Amino acid sequence: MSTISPEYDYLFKLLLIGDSGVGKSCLLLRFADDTYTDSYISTIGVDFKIRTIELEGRTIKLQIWDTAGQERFRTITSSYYRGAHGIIIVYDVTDQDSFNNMHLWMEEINRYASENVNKLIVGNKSDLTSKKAVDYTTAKEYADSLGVPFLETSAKNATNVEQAFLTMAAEIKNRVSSGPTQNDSHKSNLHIQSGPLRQEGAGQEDGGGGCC
Amino acid sequence: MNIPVTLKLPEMASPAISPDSSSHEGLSSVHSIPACSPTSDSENLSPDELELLAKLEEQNRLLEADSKSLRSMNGSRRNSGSSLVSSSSASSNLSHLEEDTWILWGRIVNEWEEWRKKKEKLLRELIRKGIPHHFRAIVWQLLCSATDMPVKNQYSELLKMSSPCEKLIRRDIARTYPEHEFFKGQDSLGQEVLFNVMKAYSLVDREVGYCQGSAFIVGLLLMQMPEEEAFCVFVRLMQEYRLRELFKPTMAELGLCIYQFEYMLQEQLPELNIHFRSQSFLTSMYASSWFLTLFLTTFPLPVATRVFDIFMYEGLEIIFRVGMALLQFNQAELMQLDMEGMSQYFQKVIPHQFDSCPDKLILKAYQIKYNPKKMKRLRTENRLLKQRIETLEKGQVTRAQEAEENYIIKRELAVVRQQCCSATENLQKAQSTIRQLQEQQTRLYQNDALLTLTSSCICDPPFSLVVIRAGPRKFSSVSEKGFWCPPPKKPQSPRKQAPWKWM
Repeated sequence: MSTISPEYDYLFKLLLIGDSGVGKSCLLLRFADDTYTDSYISTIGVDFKIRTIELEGRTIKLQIWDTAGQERFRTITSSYYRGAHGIIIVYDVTDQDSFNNMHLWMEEINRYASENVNKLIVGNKSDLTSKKAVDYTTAKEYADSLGVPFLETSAKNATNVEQAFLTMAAEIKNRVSSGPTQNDSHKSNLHIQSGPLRQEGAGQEDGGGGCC
Repeated sequence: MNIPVTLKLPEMASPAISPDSSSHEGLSSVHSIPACSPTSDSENLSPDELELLAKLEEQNRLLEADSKSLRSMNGSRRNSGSSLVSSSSASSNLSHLEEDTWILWGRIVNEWEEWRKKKEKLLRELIRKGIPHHFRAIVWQLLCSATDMPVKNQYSELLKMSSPCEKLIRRDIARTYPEHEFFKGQDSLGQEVLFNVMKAYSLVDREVGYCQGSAFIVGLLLMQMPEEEAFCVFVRLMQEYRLRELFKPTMAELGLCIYQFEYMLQEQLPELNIHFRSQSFLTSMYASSWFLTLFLTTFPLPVATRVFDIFMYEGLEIIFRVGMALLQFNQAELMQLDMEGMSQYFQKVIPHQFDSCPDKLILKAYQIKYNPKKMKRLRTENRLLKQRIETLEKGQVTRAQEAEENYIIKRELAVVRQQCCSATENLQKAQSTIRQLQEQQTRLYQNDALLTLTSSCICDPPFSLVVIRAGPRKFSSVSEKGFWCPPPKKPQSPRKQAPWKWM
C-alpha cells in the first residue's frame, strides 16, 4: 500500500449498479484481481477496487465502486453517482426480474449522475446457458434503444469481463478527450490525490446528513 | 464437557435494562465508566467475586498470550467464520481458571434476576470480559429478555407461509458466512435455518421485511442456538436495540448513527476528521457496515463476538465506541494515506489488528468519551435538519413547478402575441384592400358619369343635363325643358321599353 498514487494520464471513476445478487462484486473481483469465488459475502454499503490499464498509449487508472444492490441501500449509494465518469448497469441473464428492473436503475442514473455520464449495460452469468432467461437480442434491442453499449459477461469464466471495462474506459476517454469541457479526469503526469466520487463542494452535506 | 450447573430459566428478565430505541442514549449514561477496572466496583463485590474477576483477567491474559503464540485465529474477512475458537480449546493449563469461570457463569444464569438487579456493575464487567462460548446462547437470550416470547409459538406456522422477500433472502443465504462450516454447502443445515429465520421475520415485520446485513446477525445467533430461539432473539434485537430502525426501507437511523459518529470524530479526532474531509473520505464508506452488521463483517468471529456480547447488554453504544477506538488507534497511519490507501487500510489492516487481543480493543473502546446526553441532542438536531432539508426540497419542488408553469405561460403568451400581431397585420391588409376597392369604386362612378355626359353630348339635338342621384344604374334624366333624355346604352333601366322617339 503506497501513500502516493502511481503516475497515470487519466483517472476514471466507475460505478457498478444493479439488483442484488447479479454478480457486481464478482465482476469487479474478476477484473481487478482476476479471481473468482462462489463464496463471496454480500456487499453491505459500498466497496471499491483499483486497476490501471493501458489504452491507446495512455495509462488509465480505474477506480471502480461496487454498491449494495438492495433498493433501500440507494440512500447510501446514490451519493456515489455524482462523481462517476461511467456507470455499469448489471443484470443477471438467468433472472428476468433483474433485467426488468433496468429501467429503474436508468432512472436512478438520470436522477443522480451527471448528465454526460457514460453507460454500459452488462448481462452477467452468461456461463449458465441452461438457465438463461433473458435472450441476447432482447437485451441488445433495449440497449440500442437507449444508445448504450451492451455486453454479456461471465465473471466465473472471465468471458467479456475485460472487454466490458475496457469498452467503458474507451468510451469515457473518447468523451473527455474530445469534449471542450475537460473535467478532473485528465491530469497528465501529476501525482494527484485520488478524488472523491463526489464533486467538490459536496463535502459539507456529507458531514451534515450522513446518508439520509 | 458438561456444563457444571443446571440451567434454570428465570421468569422474565427486566425489560427496562434492554436499551430501547428511544431511550438508548440516556440509558447508557451509567455505562460510561472505564471497563477492565474491577476496582471501580470493588465496594459492591465480595472478596470471592473480586478474586474471580482477577482470575478472569489472568485467564484473558493467558488466552491472549496463547493465541499470539498459536496465531491460529488469523482468518481473513472473507473466511472469518472458520476461525471461531472457543475458550476451552486454547490451552490445557487454563482448565483451572476455566472451571472457575464456568462455575461463576453457572451461578449468574441460575440467579439471573438477582444479578441483573443487584450486581449489575459486576455483570457488566464480566460481560465486557467475554461471555464463555457455551453460555452465550442462554445469556444472550436472558440479556434481551427473549426467553419467553409468544411469537415463538408462531414460528412453525410462519415457516409454512410464503414471503414476498423470499427471493431476495435466498440470494443472500449463500453469501452469509460462506466460509463457515455451519453455512457451507447449498443444502447445509446452516443455510436452511438461516433462510427460515429470515423468512419468518420478514413475515412478522412487513415494513422491514428483509434487509441485507441482518442475516449476519441472525447467522451469529444460529451458531449458538436453535432456530426458534434465534428468531426470538432477533425479534427482540429488532424491536429493542434500534436495529429495526436501522433496517427500515428509509435507513434513516443509519443516517443518524453516521451523523452522531461524525460528531464524535469531529470532537475527539479533529485532525483526522479534517484529513478525511480533505480526501472526501465519507463516513458511509467505512462505517455503514459497522452499524448494519455490528462489526460481524469486519472482524473475525472471535473478536466480533466479543463486541456482540457487549452489544447484547449495552446496545449500539459499543459500536460507536469500537469504531472510534479503531480510528484513534490508527490515526497516525491514516493521516499518511490518501482516500484509496485509507479504503484499503480499512479493508485489510484494521480487521485483523486485534485478532490476538480482543481485550485491548474493548479496553480502548471504553477509553473513548461517549456522551449520551449529547447523542440525544444530536438525534433531535438530526431530525430538525432532515425536516429542514425536506422543507427546502419541497420549497425547491414548488419553485421548480412555479418556474415551469411560468415558462409555459410565457410561451403561451408569446404565441398569443404573435397571433395577435399577424391578426392585426391581416386586418390592416384587409382594411387597405377595402380602401383600394372603395377608391376603385369611386373612380368607376366618375367614369360612369363622364361616359353619360359624353354620350349625351354626342347625341345633342336637345340640350340635356344628367343628374346622377343615386346608384349608377338608377338615374332619371330630366331635361331643362322638362322632357326625358335617353338613358345610356348599357344599363337597362326598367324604363327601357318606354318609347322616347319624340326627341
